Amino acid sequence: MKRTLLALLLAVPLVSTGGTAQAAVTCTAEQVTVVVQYLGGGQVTGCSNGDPGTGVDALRSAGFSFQYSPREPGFVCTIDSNPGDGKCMKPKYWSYWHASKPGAAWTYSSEGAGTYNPTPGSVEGWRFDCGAAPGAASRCTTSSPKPSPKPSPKPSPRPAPTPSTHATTGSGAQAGSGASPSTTGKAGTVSAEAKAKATAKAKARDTAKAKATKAKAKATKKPAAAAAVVSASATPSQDTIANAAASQSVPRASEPPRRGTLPWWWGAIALVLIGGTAGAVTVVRRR
Amino acid sequence: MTRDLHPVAWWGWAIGVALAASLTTNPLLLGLLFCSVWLVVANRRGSSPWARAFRLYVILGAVVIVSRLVFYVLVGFKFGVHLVLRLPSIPLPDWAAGIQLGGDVFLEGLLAAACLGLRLAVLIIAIGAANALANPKRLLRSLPRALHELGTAVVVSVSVAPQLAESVQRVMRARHLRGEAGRGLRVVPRVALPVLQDTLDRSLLLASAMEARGYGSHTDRHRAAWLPAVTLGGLVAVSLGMYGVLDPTRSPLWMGIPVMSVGVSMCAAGIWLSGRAVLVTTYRPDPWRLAETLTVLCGIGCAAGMLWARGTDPLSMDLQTQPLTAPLLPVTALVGIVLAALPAVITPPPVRPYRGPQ
Repeated sequence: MKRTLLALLLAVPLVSTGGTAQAAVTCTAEQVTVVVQYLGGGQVTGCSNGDPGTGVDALRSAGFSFQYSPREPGFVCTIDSNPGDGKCMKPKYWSYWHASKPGAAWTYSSEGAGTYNPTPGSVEGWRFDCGAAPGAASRCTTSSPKPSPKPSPKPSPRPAPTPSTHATTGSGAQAGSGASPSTTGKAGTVSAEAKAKATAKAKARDTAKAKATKAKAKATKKPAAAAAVVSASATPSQDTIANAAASQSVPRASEPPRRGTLPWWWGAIALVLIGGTAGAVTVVRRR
Repeated sequence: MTRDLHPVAWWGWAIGVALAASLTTNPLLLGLLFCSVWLVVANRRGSSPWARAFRLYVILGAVVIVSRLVFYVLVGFKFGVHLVLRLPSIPLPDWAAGIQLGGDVFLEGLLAAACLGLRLAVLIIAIGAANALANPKRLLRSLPRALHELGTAVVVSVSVAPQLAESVQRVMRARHLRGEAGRGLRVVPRVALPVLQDTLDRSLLLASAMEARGYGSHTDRHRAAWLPAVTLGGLVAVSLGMYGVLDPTRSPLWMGIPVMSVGVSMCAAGIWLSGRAVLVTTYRPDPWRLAETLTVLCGIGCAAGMLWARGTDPLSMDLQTQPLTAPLLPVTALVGIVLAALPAVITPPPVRPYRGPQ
């Protein structure tokens, strides 16, 4: 993480050139606002549950799931399983930004999200790009051959296995009462933003033809404030979110073995076989 | 039939295995790779001193893993849910932000650090296997002819170190026989002079012996003055091209592969042209037969199997820690590992010293 941050520090100016912390949801002064902008422009805002200790805690309690890079633990590789193909270092990566309050300018984080302690009332920004701040223009050069958002939905055989994310989203939002969707201007109900987000995801999942958590999706389908949360600077916002959620169905290692892999005990048997032969040969040769 | 395999074949195989190891952090695959390398070394190493050094590389690998874990506990980034060790965290000033000194250690982070250490250890052990299996002096013979003089110098310097130790021992024994007392640092000036003289004598002896065998003779062929410039220019182009290949986002497109291929061909041409001016024959050259080709192919196949598995299913090639799950075994990677172990049987056994009838 330190290494990566250093590399990023060299490449990116510390203060964002354009783009301020525009949160679609107003959180309380005790909470931390988390703004996540996926590839293609779809921006999702969440409120943390209370005062989180670290940046990744804020991310998690605001209802986002994330994965570290397995080869660089501490480097956030995917948020809500985005990007779906696991290519999260070059040239696009999840850049991490701070803003003192909603509407303030973004500052590039000089510390990893695993150790940085965000102050209550501040805004945390995550943007999957070549180092641009959330809401700012993309910094990627046009050499990238695909202009459209990732065609990530793989034909995975099983529905998304993440009911837990939604459970935490609901509870986190209920704790943070008094939040309201700001773009509509009306006072929202309790946990409005979380429900709205869940709805957006549920919709996206329906388009992705996954059948997970039917009941939950039904329960959260009503609030019309859904669109308030998904404020997009690019036009195809629903599609982007659809892709975002659809790529959540990328298979995880926790699932039963996929095609082309064997369970771990096959490896243990092979290990004993080859290692045992090598040991026996060594002993025999030494005589 | 027993014979020593061509040293370049062993190095090709080992580089393939090292490349394969660098592609994964899956502990099962890394462990299997280590066992394959161990099997090949155990079955096909000779009785030379460097062949016995394989154990040192294994110890070095273990040291790498242990120090990786120690540094992880000291300054690593701690994450996970299964608490292993409760440690106090020492706060650091702002300019050291991002470095975590101490702190609770979790199983997930510890295992991830161990796997990263294991990857480096297997890489080191693969190179150590090449060292144990290939005769370094015979490897120097395979150098291109342009580097012949350099190779000769390296061979001479490689054989100097053991000679120096032997020389010191001889002088010390002579002193001991003469009844001269004294040990430690005080005798160094009195031992140094005879050792130096001995070394000079030996060097002169070696030089005259080599001259008698035709080393150091100059050909009348004229060596063009611009040839070194070609080679040097090629090296500069290779480094520029490498920069372009490694960072395609911030350098112009032509700087990548095109400049690099131009540089490589310039280097090859420079070495080949200056090699024509050197007339050297090799005494008993190492043959390159089917076993050599198969050994190199095994190394390439091992790396290809890992690359294939990484391309089709990248998640199974790394230890998954969020949540922590048992590692999977990709079939193509397993095929690659079996290929890596094959040289243990498909190569001819090495020449062993005759120990008399048993």
